[in-house]
Amino acid sequence: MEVVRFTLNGDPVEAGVRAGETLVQTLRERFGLTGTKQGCDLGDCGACTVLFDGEPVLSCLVLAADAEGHSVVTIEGLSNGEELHPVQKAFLDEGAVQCGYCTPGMVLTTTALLDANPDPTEAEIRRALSGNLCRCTGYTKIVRAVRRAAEASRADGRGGE
Amino acid sequence: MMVLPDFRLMKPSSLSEALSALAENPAAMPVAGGTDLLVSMKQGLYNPTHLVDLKGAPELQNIEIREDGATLGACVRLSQLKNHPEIRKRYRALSQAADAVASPPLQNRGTLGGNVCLDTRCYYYNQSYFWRQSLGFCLKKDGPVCRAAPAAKRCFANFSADTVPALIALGARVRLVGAREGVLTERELPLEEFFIEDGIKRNVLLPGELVADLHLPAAQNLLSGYRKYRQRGSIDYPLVSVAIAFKMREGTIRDARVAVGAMASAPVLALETMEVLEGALPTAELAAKAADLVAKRTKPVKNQAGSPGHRRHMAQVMCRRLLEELLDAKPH
Amino acid sequence: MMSKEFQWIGKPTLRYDGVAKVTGQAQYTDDLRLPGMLVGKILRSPHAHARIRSIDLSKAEALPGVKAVATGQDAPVAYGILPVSEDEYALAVGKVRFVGDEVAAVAAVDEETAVRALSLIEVDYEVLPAIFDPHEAMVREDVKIHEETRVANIERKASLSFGDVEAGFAAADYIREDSFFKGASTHAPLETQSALAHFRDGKLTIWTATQVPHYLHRYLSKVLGLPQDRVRVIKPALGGGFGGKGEPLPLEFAASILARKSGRPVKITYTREEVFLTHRGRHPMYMKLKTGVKKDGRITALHFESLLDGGAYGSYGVVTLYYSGQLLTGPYVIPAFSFTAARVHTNKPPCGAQRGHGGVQPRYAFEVHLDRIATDLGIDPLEIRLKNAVEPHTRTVNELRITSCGFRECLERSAEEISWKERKGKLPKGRGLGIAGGFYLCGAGLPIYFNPMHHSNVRVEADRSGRVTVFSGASDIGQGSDTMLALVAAETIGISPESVKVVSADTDTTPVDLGSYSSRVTFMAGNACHAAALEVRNRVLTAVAEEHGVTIDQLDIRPQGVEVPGEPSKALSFAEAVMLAEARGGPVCGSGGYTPPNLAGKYRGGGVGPSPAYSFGAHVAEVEVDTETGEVRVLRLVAAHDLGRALNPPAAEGQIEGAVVMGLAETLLERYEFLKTGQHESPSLLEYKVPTALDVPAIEPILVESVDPEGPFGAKECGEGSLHPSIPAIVNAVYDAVGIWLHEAPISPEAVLKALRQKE
Repeated sequence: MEVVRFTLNGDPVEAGVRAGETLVQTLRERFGLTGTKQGCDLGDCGACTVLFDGEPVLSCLVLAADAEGHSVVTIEGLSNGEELHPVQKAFLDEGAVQCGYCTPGMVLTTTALLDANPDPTEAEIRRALSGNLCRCTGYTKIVRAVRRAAEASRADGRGGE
Repeated sequence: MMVLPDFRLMKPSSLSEALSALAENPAAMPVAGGTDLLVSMKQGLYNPTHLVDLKGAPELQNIEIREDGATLGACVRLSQLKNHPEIRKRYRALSQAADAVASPPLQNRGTLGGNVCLDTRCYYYNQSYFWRQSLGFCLKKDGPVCRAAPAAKRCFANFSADTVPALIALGARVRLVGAREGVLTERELPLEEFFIEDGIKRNVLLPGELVADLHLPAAQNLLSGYRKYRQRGSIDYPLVSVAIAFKMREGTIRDARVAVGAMASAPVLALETMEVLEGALPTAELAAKAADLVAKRTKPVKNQAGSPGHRRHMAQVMCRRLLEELLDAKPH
Repeated sequence: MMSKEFQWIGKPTLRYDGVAKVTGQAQYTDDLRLPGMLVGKILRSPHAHARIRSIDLSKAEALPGVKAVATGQDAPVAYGILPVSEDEYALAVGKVRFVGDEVAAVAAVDEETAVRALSLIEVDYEVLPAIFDPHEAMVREDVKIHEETRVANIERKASLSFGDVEAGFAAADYIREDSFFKGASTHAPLETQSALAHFRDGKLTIWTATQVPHYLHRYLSKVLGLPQDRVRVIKPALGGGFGGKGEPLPLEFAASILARKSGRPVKITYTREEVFLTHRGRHPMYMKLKTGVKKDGRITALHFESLLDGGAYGSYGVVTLYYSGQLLTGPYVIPAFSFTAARVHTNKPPCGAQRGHGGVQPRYAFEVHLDRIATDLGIDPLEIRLKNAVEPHTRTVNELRITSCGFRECLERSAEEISWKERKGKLPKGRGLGIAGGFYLCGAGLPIYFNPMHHSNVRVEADRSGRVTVFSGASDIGQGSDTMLALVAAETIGISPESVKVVSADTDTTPVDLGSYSSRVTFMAGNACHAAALEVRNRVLTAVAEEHGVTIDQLDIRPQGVEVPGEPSKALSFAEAVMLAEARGGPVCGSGGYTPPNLAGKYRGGGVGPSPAYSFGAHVAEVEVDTETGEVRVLRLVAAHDLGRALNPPAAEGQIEGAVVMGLAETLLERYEFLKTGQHESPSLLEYKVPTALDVPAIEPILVESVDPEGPFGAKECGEGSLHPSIPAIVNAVYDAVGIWLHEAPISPEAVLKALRQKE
């Protein structure tokens, strides 16, 4: 066991982890943050996406010990109390959620995309989401939700310069 | 959930500490992004006693772009490469190749050094322990015979790194560092000489030795590009890849280098294609003539999707199309 | 049904579970933990076909941390989703029949210990010759995968004939014959199967990712030898099914057995590889068609033959077998039809039901075959479809009752959307348009096991807070059935969908619904919910009417409450109205059920195919073919679908968009294939090519509303039928683009290049 200290959804946390423990296990099993999903455990599906220092990474291929000193944001860390993050709201309003299993990863990836690029083209959206598989929606409404979130963020003055 | 085997994680804070850790633990393995190694470990392909995390070594983080060339540290992440405006401008093939590795979230973790040292791949090898045991294992891991080419005496696992053909085309040299009996060793060699046409041995790294960084020559008048054939627009490893770099001087092609990936156990320099291009005028027929020879030195076997014949054909098509594109483009 | 303008139906309604899903709060089975919970793991056969001589558990049992070990002997009771093919066991009894077949299971304190324990189980196998090719399975008498099969490894044959087929062919001006092969695909839901079982006080509770809580309930009771009232099945949030979670699965039994043996909760969650091995996906199907037509393209007769590679067990296969023929008699008028079909066992994971079950492969074959006929006769593919299009309120030659039917409109609108008439045949080389049609049932007319009860039952309750609760056994697998129930209840009663709570898929608290399969939920559970909600509405209005001395038809319920005509001061909130009703007659409950009309044909097999209604669809694909690389890119796909009425349009569009992409994927990308030694070629999401966002265009759905006379508010299905036409539309577009016919799917770039070379 090794103690790892990091920032989780804005709060400083620490946990004892095994060397062979992946970040997704720590998040789900030690912190009870089960919003981070596991779809393949091998980096092929994107369901376990979390933001690591603001960038999407696959937490099934990140050692928990690697979180030391870094900032991790999970889907649970996105909304502000009852108020949904604009990306969450866009996914909900656009009907971009079906089974919901890819949704946390999709929402987090979108958040990072819009932080870096507040007005992405459809091609840029599809490229950014291309590590996150969705089996339900055919991506049509997800892409639309990303656009809607981008518009909402720009109108809000959030996410843009 | 797939379980990682037991190991001890070491987090050295300098390159020399990392080298000592590797020297002291013969069954240790270095790790950086972990995006390939952890998958292999979950599948039981590697069982190191220690993982030596290189991310804490500042010497490996370097990105330095100068008029006379560039130095790129082994722990530079692929997303840093693809997003770096100067790399995009000067060494376009490398930026394109970094962008073609796996998928965006993996590019945020995966590193240049990790990609250069990527294990060779084969669908008889990159499987779970259960699956491999069911088949009776293969030559590369625990088994008696190469399942892709049972008559052969060697392993034909496929060289699958995206950045390497680009780096080779760009004329990269690789610097290797190690520690032997307490003494630091260092050597530098052209990247193409780093690889060995053997799916098991793969490269010339000695025990305890690491890729420290890569050095690219000056980019003046350089044109370069990378193309990858895969089934999906993302996630997939290459079935074929082609990288080309050359300079235009006085209307003719100079210093042409063409490298092919995923068509053998090591990257292949397409010497015949390079010869056709060298000193040639960019005529309408040139691209096709040069591309026809691109797969000559490759040895694809049936260990990936797509038949070897089709992959050869795709190498030619991609080479020609990339050449046509580059011959139309303006040099940096 | 009600003729007044709808308050909610036809307008976007947010998902009932939407907020929970976008915030990560939704709890899926693998998210659940119970105190003392153990991790369960299943030992799988490394052999494609072997007899189990003995199993030695002693070393595994002795490993510290192991709390229970189980084998087939712990529950040697055969089961199977279809009563006609109960040929599976919780864990192998005597034999294993594919690489990955379940042999034993362990429960341990953690994953590491469980994995270690599996490696300590010693199984002595006698390896048997294996069969992987269905043609070989037809004739190999020396290898019996199931001893019970009478001829070779043929599980079942079907042969049916309707109308005067001989006369039909005799009357034809032109007859064409073609052969096709459609390979397997698998569901690949993002959530892997997971089951958490807890055995306490002689009662089993299982939380599991299932589409069919009721069928699982029955079989758990049977296999574990527990009375049904001692078994409770709960389906938590579920991460995609598509048919793969549509029948009782080995992990559900294994977790239950281990929980009973260990006295502790046991959770088994499949690895992604195990999901591939569990399969139950699309049958590989070899098909032959012979069609006679008049000069003008009118069909006179059709003969169809199919061979289904069923894999190791029965699963839904007998239904697939009949569907393969029965669902060819529309959406075109086929005056005479015959088919013969066989399903065989092979030593591969069992095939079963996957989205569009049974009709997908024959639809691909027939629609391409029809385009070939049209091409031979010089008729436009759209014209030949319009000419033969089935009309509303007719019967097909095999006695399927067609009521509402918007097929013609689907054809016309999808063609118009892509400017078929203006653009067909005028695109640059390498680009092409293709059209195809399809139809599908809205729920099977018969339940899987014979019984005279309702297929769907719903209870609706209004309480003093003004809240309405819907209790339904229907299983929301991501398609949105909970939202549909809330919407139907809200519209029926007159309140807002936000005031409706849905309690679903818990066999202790919700009335039986047969489950999420065969596109039955909106139609059947929707109708049951409507009936139950209507009862609540009437109870409430009756009370208000009596209180104020008016008649019910003078009153209406709106979200803001109930108004009393002419007396604005007497207006009540809905909660107050419910209180009036409760004061008069006790709890304000309504119950409703739905049983489809008995439409079964009077012939053997006549129960497979009938449905209370059918959805129709037509897709037009625009593709680009790279003649040098063989790559096919779908640029546009317009999907018109007659769904009766769109209760919640974004949800309906989402179903169509997802179905079309799944169809596109099994046309161009996904291959579910095996090595010669029986190992799966690509049991990972790296090598099984589920499309990424970069591999598909934005799908263009068109909702066609034929308003079904029997559907809830006129609704029909839209999640499965909308897959059927996409495959042949793409294949037909490839012909239009480069002049090659592809009789095998999935299509590889190499197959395209080969066909191009042969054409030259």
